[in-house]
Amino acid sequence: MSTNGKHEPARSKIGKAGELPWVEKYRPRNLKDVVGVDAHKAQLLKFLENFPRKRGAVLLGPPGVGKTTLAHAVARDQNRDIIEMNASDARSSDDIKRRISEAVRSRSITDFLGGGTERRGKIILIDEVDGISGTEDRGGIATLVDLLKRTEYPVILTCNERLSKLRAIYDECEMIAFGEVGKDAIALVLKKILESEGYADLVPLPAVKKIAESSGGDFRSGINDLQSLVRGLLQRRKAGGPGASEAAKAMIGNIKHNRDDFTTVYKGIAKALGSGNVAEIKAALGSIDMPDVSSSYEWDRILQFLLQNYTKITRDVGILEKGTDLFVLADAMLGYLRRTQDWSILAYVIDFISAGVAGINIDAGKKGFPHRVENPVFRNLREGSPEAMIARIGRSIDSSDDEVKRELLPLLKELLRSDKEPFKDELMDWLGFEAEDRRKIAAWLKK
Amino acid sequence: MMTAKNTPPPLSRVFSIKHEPRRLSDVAGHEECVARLKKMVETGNVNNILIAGPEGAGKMTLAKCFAADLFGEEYATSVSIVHAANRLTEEERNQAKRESHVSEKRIGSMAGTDLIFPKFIQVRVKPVVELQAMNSRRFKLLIVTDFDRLGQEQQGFRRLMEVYGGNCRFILLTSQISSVIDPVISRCQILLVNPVSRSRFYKEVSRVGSVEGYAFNYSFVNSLYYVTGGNIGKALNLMQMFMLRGKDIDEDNLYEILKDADCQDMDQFLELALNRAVHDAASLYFQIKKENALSFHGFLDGLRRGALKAPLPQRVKARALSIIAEVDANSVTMASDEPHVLALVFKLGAIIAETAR
Repeated sequence: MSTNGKHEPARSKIGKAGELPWVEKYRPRNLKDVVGVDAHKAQLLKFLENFPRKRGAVLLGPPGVGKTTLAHAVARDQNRDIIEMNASDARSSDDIKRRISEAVRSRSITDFLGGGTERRGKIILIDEVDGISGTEDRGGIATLVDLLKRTEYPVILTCNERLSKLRAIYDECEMIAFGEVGKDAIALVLKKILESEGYADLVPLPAVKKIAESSGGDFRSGINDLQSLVRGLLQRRKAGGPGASEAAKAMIGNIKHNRDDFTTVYKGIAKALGSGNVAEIKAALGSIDMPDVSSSYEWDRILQFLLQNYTKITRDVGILEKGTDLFVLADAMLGYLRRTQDWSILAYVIDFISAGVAGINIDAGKKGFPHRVENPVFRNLREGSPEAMIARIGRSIDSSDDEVKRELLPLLKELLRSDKEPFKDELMDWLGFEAEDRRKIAAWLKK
Repeated sequence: MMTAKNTPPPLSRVFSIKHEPRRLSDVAGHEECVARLKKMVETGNVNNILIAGPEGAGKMTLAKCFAADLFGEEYATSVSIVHAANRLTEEERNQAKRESHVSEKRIGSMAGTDLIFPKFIQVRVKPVVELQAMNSRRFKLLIVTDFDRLGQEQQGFRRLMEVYGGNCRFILLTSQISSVIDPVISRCQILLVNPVSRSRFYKEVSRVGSVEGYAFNYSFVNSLYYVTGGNIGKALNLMQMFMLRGKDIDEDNLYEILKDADCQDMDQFLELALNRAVHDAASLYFQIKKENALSFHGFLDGLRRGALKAPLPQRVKARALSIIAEVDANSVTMASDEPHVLALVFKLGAIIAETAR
């Protein structure tokens, strides 16, 4: 949902136990390993050479093309320290001032101590500068511009899209615009990764190409897809399914399909409920891919699905009771996370949930089978139903359906039942309800 | 009647709708908030506003009256109201899917990340704020009720507030400010709305009573204030129920009617929970919630009233009340109600064994 990547921690599926994401594992450390962006590489090196003709460079381009990676690689190659800050972490000018000045000041200390004498200096990297807000915190932008005018060290900023609110910043900087990375460069990287992981024989070349194509010029997305594909194929191989190449074809075709499918949630919950091992449960829950995109809300839903099923594992109240406190804790943390957007909490949430489930499963001593839970996200208003009536009334008096139910419904029912008032017919006429609809309403009133 | 332009004639027979304030000067109580809002109307200098306060305290009334005063004749073309608590219909969801820019090409973990705005915002909010304001104030007003219910979509909303801030001002209403994310709070002027004072409540309820031909004594209105938490609209609805039933206005009848108005199943829930019928109690809760649209707090409040009146030993009753209070306090920052319901049931279920010891 965001272009600045701030929400990515939520999207990345946490809990693939023990396995480092390949995106991190194979992030290029040296300049020569950075591929697909040769022109930009040269441009950036030139900027550093000419410093301080311009004091800042903006790396502009879509997510996952290697902007941050390039900045780090250049710093490493030139033996410079990198001072990194994420602009979306620091919204106000005070924050930015404090962080930068802290970081810059520390330079003189290391130099005097003689610790980093070999170092040729520093680069200030400000990631995701589009996360800085435009209207209210103009101060933030002004501070950056001020920094760009006076800095002793080159500043590199990354940015997803060209924004008018950042014009003052662009004016001070060398602009280096990235396009999408060519699919061949991505395919090359994917192939290399497969080779060093020892899975070259597992994924056929056409499949690699297909992933590169569908990555939309985004390294991160391509590598993530490859990793999930390999994980899937390994499972398939272990289970002794059809040949790997067949499976790969089928899986690539399927991934797209499954995304709108609910079975992935169902399967994840089923797996979690069938295990007494915390790490296993964590992995199962972490692999759930919810159809709705928005992040922590996914975990609300996963917790909901679990709880709706969890009372059905056993009728033994004593066993169920133990897990409840952990779930309450998990929920409290989710609430806190939502408000503060402090994603570091999410790990605890998942731990608490997993531990709660494991405890119950072990005590119950049997596997739980989840019931299929209906998708509670949308409502379906059938014409002429009580719900449709409530919705129409709500709309006409600017109230939400819930509010109508909560505040007005008892009185409405009373009015509809009353013989003293011509209310019912008038309301039904206004709603345009036919005889059939009126019968439905009458039946509903009797309940 | 500019704020209730569509009110169907039969509904204007409902006291709480008929006597709803239409302008800020009609609003009962909330003197400080009214003064601040009037100032904004005068100067035309309108910020984004977050109105926070308990259910039924009068947040929506304030927002609507403010909008009516601010835009006058231009109200209809300038003000939109969306309810975050109303789930999207299937049709709206499909619309969101069609309009969002999900890259079909992508597979795997990054797919869908270029969905520009979450569905609710895409369908309900964006079309409103995008449209150029065509009025003398040169901005429009969007009122969002139950803003906290947007959950994670608040992030997307925040961005929208920035992008369209020039064209549209926002009034966000919430009864759970703890669930509103900090970046939104920091972008709004905050108006805290408390329930009206007892004397203001008395004045307003008896004013309507005298118009509708009904007289109350002070002690009755006092209990009405207590059971509605100062919600004038709800009090008027209860009053009208009395009239329809032709009942004497006294406190016994009040509780009887209130029970019908709230939910009769609450007593059954308490009984099931006390007897450790966990599964039945939990499913009854979900049924109660669905049929009555109660918030978790609203449910606990009803349960509390039920527990007070229930024929239980005093020790059990005291313990039950303290547990209800404890669960309510724990749920202040909750993300979903389910774990808390289970915790409630288990704790209530332990009482009998505890007190027998």
